[in-house]
Amino acid sequence: MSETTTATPAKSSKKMLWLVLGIALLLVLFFVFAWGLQKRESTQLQGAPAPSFTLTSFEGEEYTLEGLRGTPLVINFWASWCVECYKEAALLEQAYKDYQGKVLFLGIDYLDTEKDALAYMEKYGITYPSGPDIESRIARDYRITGVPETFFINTEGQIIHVQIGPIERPQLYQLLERLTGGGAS
Amino acid sequence: MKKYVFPLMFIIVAAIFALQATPTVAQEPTEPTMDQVNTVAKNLNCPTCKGLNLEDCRTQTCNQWRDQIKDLLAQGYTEQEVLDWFVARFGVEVLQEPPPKGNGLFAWLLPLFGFAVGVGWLVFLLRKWSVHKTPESSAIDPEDNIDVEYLEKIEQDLKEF
Repeated sequence: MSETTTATPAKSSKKMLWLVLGIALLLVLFFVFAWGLQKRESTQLQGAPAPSFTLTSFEGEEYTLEGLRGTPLVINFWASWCVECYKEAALLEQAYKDYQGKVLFLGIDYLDTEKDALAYMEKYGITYPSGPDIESRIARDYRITGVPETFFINTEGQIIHVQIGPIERPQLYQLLERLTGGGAS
Repeated sequence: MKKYVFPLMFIIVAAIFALQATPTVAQEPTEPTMDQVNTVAKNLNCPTCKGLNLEDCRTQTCNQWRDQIKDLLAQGYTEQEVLDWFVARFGVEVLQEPPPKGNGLFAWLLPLFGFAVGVGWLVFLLRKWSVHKTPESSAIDPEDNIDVEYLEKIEQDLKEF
């Protein structure tokens, strides 16, 4: 009690300044952490323009979103170690053949080794272009939460659907119809 | 005949030495041991399980990555070159310890910053407490507004006691 009565006004204002600065710093740190912790999911991209990307396939061909503008796209994130990816591998290949020339399928190999990825493609007979996601940049931009995830992109470069997990045949063909303008939107 | 014995013996001995030396010169590259693979693997993160390193994880992904390390070591890559290969292919996030530059610098400086703030806060509190305690331990200030009659009563009571 006696301290407060003896403290000079200059000293108290200095203390107050430090206190305000400390609180401001804590608030800044809190907002930085809150921003970092906020959920970033691929489904949030549904209806939004697809992030641009550059993919070099295992065969050495380069694909960019800008270069493919005007062609409906199906982008499938997969990995050879992903058990769920096995379930849709043959279906995707069949759909690619059924819609060849109308829809382009691209496989993006996520956190995988080339040797195992090529063995996987051979095992499931995948013939549509597929390539490694260098430094996981495409996966980060598309905010994927795991594999498999499939993005359906229309001719304007807009994501019309994000499929988390393996896709079933009726849904896949319905979405392909939407992409080619044959189905209800 | 005797004059040929010594050169012949010399040729035979030289041939034996040459045969023994041959395997050392034409040695096949040895396959990396699991210890060598794990020495590199412990510096990398499992890509699918959070918080586990590649050495300890037993998922299929990590088995494949350990095979990749083995392949690279067998090709003659050094440990650092293998780590560089993984960073170039999968990004800097694969490293157990982020490099102290760019965003990785934040991971190194933040704990230091937290520690400095903690120590500063502790010093501030200790100083505050010591300032508070000093007047309490000193004698009563006669200038303080204390009831004199009450003090005299206490002193009287103490004397009687």
